[in-house]
Amino acid sequence: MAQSPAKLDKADSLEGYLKNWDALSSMLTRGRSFSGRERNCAFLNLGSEGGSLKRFADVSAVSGLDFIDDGRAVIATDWDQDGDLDFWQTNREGPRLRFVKNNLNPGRNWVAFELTGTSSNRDGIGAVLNLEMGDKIITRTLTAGDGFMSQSGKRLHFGLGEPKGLPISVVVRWPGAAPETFTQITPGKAYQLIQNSGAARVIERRKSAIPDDENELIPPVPTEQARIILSHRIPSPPLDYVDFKGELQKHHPDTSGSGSPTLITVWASWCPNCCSELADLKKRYGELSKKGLEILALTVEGVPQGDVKPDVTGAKDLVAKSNFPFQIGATDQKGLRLLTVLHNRVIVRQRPLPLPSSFLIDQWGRLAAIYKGPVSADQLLADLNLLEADAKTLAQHAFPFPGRDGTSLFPLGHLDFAKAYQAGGDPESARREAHKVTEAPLTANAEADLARRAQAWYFIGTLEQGLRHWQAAAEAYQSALDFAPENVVLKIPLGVSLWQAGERDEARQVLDEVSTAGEKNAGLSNALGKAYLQIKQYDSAVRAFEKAIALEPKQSGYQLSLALAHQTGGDPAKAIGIYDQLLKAQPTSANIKNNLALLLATTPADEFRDGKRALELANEVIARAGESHPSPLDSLGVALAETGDFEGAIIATRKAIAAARAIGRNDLFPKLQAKIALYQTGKPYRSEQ
Amino acid sequence: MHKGLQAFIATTVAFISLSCKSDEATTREERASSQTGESRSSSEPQAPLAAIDLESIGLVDSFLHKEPSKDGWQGEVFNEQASAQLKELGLILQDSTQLTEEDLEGIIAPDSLTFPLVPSDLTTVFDDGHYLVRRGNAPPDPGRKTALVAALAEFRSPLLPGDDFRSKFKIFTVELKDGQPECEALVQINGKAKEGEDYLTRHARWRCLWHWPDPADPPLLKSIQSSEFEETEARPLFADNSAAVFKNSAALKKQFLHGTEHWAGRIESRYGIGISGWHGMALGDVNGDGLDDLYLCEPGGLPNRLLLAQPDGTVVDASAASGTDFRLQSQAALFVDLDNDGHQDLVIATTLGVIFMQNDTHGNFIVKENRLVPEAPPVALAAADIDLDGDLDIYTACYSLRSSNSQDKEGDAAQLGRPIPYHDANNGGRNVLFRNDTNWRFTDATIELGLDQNNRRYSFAPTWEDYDDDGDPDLYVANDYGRNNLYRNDRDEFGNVHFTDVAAEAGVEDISAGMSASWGDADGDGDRDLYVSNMWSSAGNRIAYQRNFQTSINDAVRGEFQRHARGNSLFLNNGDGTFRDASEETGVTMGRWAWGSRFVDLNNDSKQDIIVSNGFLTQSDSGDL
Repeated sequence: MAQSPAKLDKADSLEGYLKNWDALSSMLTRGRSFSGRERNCAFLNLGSEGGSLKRFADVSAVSGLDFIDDGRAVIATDWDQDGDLDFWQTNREGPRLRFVKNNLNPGRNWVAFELTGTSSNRDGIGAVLNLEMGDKIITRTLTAGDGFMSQSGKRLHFGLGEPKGLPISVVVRWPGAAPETFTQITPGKAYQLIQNSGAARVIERRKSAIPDDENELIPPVPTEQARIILSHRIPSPPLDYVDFKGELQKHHPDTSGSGSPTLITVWASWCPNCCSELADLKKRYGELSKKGLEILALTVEGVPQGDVKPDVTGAKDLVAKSNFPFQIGATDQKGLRLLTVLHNRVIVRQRPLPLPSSFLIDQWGRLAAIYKGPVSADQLLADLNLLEADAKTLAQHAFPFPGRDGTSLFPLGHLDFAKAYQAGGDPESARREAHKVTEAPLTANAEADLARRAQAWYFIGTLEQGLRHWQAAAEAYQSALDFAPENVVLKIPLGVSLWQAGERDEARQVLDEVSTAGEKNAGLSNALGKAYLQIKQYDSAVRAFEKAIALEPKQSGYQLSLALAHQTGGDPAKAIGIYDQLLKAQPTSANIKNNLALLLATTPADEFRDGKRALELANEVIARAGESHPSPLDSLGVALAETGDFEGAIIATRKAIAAARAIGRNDLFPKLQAKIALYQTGKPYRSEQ
Repeated sequence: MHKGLQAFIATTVAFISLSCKSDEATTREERASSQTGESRSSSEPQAPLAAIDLESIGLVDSFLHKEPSKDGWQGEVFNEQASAQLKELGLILQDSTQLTEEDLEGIIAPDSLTFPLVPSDLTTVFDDGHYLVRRGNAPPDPGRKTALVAALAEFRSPLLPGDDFRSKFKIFTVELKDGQPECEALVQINGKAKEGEDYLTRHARWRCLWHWPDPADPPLLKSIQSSEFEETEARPLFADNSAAVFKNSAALKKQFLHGTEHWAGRIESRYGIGISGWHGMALGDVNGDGLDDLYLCEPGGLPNRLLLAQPDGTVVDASAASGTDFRLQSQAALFVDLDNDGHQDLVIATTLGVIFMQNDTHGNFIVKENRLVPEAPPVALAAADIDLDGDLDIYTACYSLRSSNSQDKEGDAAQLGRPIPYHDANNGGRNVLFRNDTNWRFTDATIELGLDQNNRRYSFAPTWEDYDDDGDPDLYVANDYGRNNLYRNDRDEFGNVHFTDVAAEAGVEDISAGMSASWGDADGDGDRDLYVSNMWSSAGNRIAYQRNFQTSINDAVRGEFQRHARGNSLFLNNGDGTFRDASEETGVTMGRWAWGSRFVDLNNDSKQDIIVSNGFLTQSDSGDL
């Protein structure tokens, strides 16, 4: 906890606070203990006295539950199905997972239930169970997710205290449904409670007792010894050192790919592991250098160490005696710091590097592996083969266990983030993320740059359009078009946005350009027609759809579009004509029937309205498509209302609301609710022209 | 700026010689040498031989009191010395069979008299054949002062000294009084009973008077006034049986036996592995064999694991075969039947987003939907049918914001976030409600449903419960660094769902460092009460009450800081939409640095007991903050 500014407006105080907070965070990764060595707690409920809850008793130690592993998640479950609650616990320290068995040996003072919802959710999550035994009522709720990042199982366990042969029943308050009572419950058993079945079914025990003789697993002794193969290499820094002749040398990584792989190892003459490592490297140097490896061995004895002054005498003696065939030198404080920082860029757990430590640099000057503790020549010979390995092979060495990568599930481009923000109703952040693409610096690949910018501007256009920021939408689409001028489709939303923004002349001009381009493109014409519908230019819409149909007469989608244009444009006769024509070819199409039913039931033109036929069609649609979609139910409602059955119309429309809710179309509620209000006054619904 | 902020402590980084092989198998007990306060790293490399000043860290604020004497926290200087003395006292109680004045020389002042440490009216208040609880509350009789050494001997008397004996002292208030300081401490001794097979614990709250003429010397204990005495006794009913359960899987043993630090020192941090060890699990029967299986979320770079329960009590690893062995940094998971087909589907909260997987009816899982959560990595999940339409909706809590560059992977510093302001942070991640719109479509309906109110907290723990008994699920969210949310579901007659945050008016804001929350009927009155785990900090208790703590802040803010260190909370449901804070009177605040917690019936007596997992970071350095 750092000193926290109580207010945000004191800029310097905030800066200081954050600086210190970050320093604290950083200390934690460097081995600072913080409320460590704490034991888990267990508090025993002693019941109530005089209407108030007694003080709980601290049974942490005597229960055997007071483990000391930096505990995290904990779930309770009768794992061995013997009638008492056991635990699974995750920890920060090893063992990171414990199974803790309850040895209560309970006999029959318990009962357990598993739920199966039928009209409620299948798991019965959210059900509240009241177990009644004499005048005692015990309440439990089935939850999914609680505690710390945990979910206990779905079997609800009830300790009963002393059952005393009293009759037991359980009332289940199913979520969103009527409560149900299950009787004839016998202690010492588990039951399945199926919604609306009325009877509890016994579940047999399926597990044998877990032996007591095999107890906890003892974690291995922690060691700093590690071999870290990088799956993603990072550049290694240039390093200066002084050789044993006293000359300043520079080790600069060659990034061209034609350099030699290099092992930089740090050592001290007083460190036995260092000496044996160096001896091994010397002995096998022929094999290693045949593979192209260069070795640079740097002693740390030239660095001042607390009160101890630098003293390279021991190192010099060793070097004189051993006559190492590779480069030898002494590093300074800066060199050590660079190597430590290099390690810390790869590994979050930051500790003083042990001696010896080694860094394998590849022929492109990138860090490929870190060895903490001595590395053998055998290991190096094997790992040199990995320098040009493919990603899959590298992964086998970089991860301790095989596993599913999963990152491909989540594309992480700015536009992906922008879309996620938009989906979450946060347009401001969505816009910000998208602009990171439009404002990104140019790369070597100009074509890709242009395409990315066009995509981002198009996204911003749809975002602004959704917000009815027509001017901004038009500008964004125009920008998208600037980066992808060949993409004529972009002109459609551009035209619509311009129109809505009041720039009618420009809009017409842009849409006319699309029309020209659509002379030979039915899809484009159809899309243009829809755009005209959006801005209520019915004549133009009809023309565009007719053009599409002329190009592809068999495409019934275009016909439907045209019918819709006539329907909304005030020419029901033509629309009905097209629908009837289409129905001859596709007598079972729910879409066509639904549209026609709506038209027949709601058109203000008296001579075309036909409630009876509308009702027949709507019923046919429902018979085929069911009641899961709001639109046919709405059509049924308007048709019933037209035939004078307002009660039926209200029921159908309520069902439409329920169906809309189920698929998340809450935006439909106001219109549907308005229709119900209309039917309640005994009036049918009429569409607008 | 506080002058403590300007103090620069140079950390020295020592180069240490590595002992690569250790033939000694250090036992668990030795490693967990909490009582001695010794570093548990006896097996770690020793002998710092070079101290190389690599980096200076701008530090250290007063809460860390790394060098209290520099910060002007005289009380903390005293605390450090007195704590060391009490720790030493604990070791003497453990080792000395006779306990004489001589044994305690240098700890207690000569000829000290005190009130008895065991109340005269000790009586059994609970005995269910498993757990025995005795308490006494008689006020000390002023005429009955005894020698301090005799009082301590009486305090320890039913316990066997020796290896099984442990003690713990936590000083939580300090008053300096001119060489006669006083402090309050929570005291606990545990061990085997002298007679029988039972284990026994004695707890008390001690008010200690000290003699401290010279701040350079350790203070000497003069007398103790004891209160809240409690003795519990039981044959330990719980035992770790992991070896039996894991006996068929070497890979599982290897993965889980090593601590977080082991893996964080070996796996590239770009995969999201940190050192905090925030990883949860879910339980569900994935293959319909009537046995609950376990899914474990793991740090980035280690595969998540699906452990299939076997009839003989062991587990078999099915993670790869079932398609669930993601190496993505994962925090939490749920087994829920999302498509109501009678098979348990799987939802996983990973750093990048939420994965929804369908059970193919045989216990194998197929990704049906994955939702990037752009603003913050999801950390916890909770499911409920919020609109009572028959399918389950998923709420995901998010903790800290992603770093400004969205593509960055999270390191540990990012995990902890940068809460502003610390005691009431409102710059955390936005939690998301994914409404189940059937056919594996999940819509972010957070804003639409009213769940975006007070939705910038550092959330750890969402959990659903119909606390107001109106038939629809309400949501409680425990947040770190500040206040919690209680979103009441105000579903109308048309089935329209809208939530309102009523945490303040319901009395469950619990301004604190919330880590976990669970519902249960603690007092047996039929409605559901709430237990929230927070952070009990002895340092926080000591410092937040001292006069020179954050001199610039007003009393209200100071109160919030003090509340922060109080510990866990128990809120009893009044049945009228409000709750009563019964935490202190029921004695359930002291859950240490708490993480997971829950109501659970330990002894099948139908009453809801409470368990708490705790401990933040145990590392090799000795000075626990």
